[in-house]
Amino acid sequence: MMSAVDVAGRSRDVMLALHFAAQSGGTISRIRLQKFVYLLDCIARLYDVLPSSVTHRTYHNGPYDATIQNAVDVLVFRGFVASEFRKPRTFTYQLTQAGGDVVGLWLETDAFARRASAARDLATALEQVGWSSIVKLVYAEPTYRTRSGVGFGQALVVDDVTTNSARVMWATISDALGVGATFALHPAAVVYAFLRVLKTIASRSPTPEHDDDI
Amino acid sequence: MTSDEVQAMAEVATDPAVVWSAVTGISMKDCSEFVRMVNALVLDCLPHLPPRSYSFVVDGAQGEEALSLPVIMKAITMEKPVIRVDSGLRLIRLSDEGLTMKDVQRRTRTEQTIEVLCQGSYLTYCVAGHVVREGDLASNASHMPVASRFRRPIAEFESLLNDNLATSFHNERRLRYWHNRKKRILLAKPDKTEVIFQRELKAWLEEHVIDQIRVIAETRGLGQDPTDITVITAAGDVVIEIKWLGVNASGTTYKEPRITEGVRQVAIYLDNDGRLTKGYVVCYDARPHEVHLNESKWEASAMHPLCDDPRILFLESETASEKATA
Repeated sequence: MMSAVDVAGRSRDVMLALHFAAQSGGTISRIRLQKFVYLLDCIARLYDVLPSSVTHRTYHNGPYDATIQNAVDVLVFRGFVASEFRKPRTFTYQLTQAGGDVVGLWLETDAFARRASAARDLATALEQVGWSSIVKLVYAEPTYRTRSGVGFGQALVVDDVTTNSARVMWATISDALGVGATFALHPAAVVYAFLRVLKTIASRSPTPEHDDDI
Repeated sequence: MTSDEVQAMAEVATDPAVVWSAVTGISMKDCSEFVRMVNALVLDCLPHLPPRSYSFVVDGAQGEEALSLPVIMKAITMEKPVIRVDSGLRLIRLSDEGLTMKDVQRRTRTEQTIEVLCQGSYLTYCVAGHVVREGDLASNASHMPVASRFRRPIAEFESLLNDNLATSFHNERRLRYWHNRKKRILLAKPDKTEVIFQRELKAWLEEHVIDQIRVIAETRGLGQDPTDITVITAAGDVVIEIKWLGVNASGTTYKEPRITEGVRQVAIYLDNDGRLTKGYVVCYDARPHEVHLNESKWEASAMHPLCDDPRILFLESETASEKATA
């Protein structure tokens, strides 16, 4: 059962996602929002951020976390997010003026600095690999690839180091990129590399059959 | 991990832009653009540059002048082949630092930067001390160009000539010059006899002179002397006069005095052009072997101090079987 804390945490993720997506040319639909926050959870450890206490689960259209939808509905109700119906049957979201002001305040403080950095770098990387490929990227992500075959409702623990997970993948990428480096790697490049790897894997896999704009 | 995941990771880990961005924090966009600009610049300049190595190393400073062919030529001619640039490929300065792979690795490891070593169209990207990617831009080949055993500095002119003679002239392997091999009559058409030899030697020198900047044939106009071949190097220019001896298909005959004519011509070129530091006379000899041995002298008084003794190269006409049955 989702708690108010869970919804608050996801509200933060939704607002950061909408803010940085808008800056990098992305349009956020319901499905894309789920996918973006899922990828954000995948790379969170790279920014020394603890993953969300709620996890995505396998579902019909890929990883799904009901708390995210709940959060965006609350934000729309409270006037921080505007929604627009898009035919045939989806909504797109963007921050309102009030929502933008809130995010602006956050960015001026260290409140969510690391999470914001992760969201910013993810949005930048998506701009480079193509926002339109976000669904395919998530389907190629190793945690989801491994668990999706088991059935719906499977918990997706993206930072599980004992299985072939997103965390193991980007940690391996990070090791490969960092050979010879004398300082800590800059995570933005690792995020980009992670998405590039997913895109390559996706290009060699069958295309998912569902429609992104749901 | 699955094999496609491993393969996909290997592809990304060998992208120099990604590795450089990860090491330095420079944005992926800027890193990718730098790599693109380097590749484009090298391909554009390739037809015009001598076969010499040079490199671009990204410095932390801010550059001013955009890189171009003249800048790279200047780096090569001034023997300062390490071109320090900023991440926008603007020139900071030219440097005479070492250009071995060890030097490149040491430099990039110390400075935590990227360096692109250019050997013709073969580029090696080194980031933070490690080679990330190498390959041929022009052909996508992944093997290093093999050094030719015939590549020498112009100072080894005698060896260059001998290599050319053994490789190209033996049995007319690379060029035809006999109109009638048994009677030792040289071709005179479609090209003039001298042009046949001049063209071959120019091509050979272009391919094999290590320290050349350029090889020019028959400069004309603007008051220039019509030298047969001039090899331009950083250490000075070298003039080569080509002559042939014997008979050609048009009935033209050149005998021993032709050698002294060549010597006199080179002396005039050397006197007229202060940039010339050396002169050679090369005579391709189609006369009978006995004549070649006994009538190959020149007037010593006509020799310029900077001119070497003329090379008189006997052109073989007998095949191995003919020699064996003789």
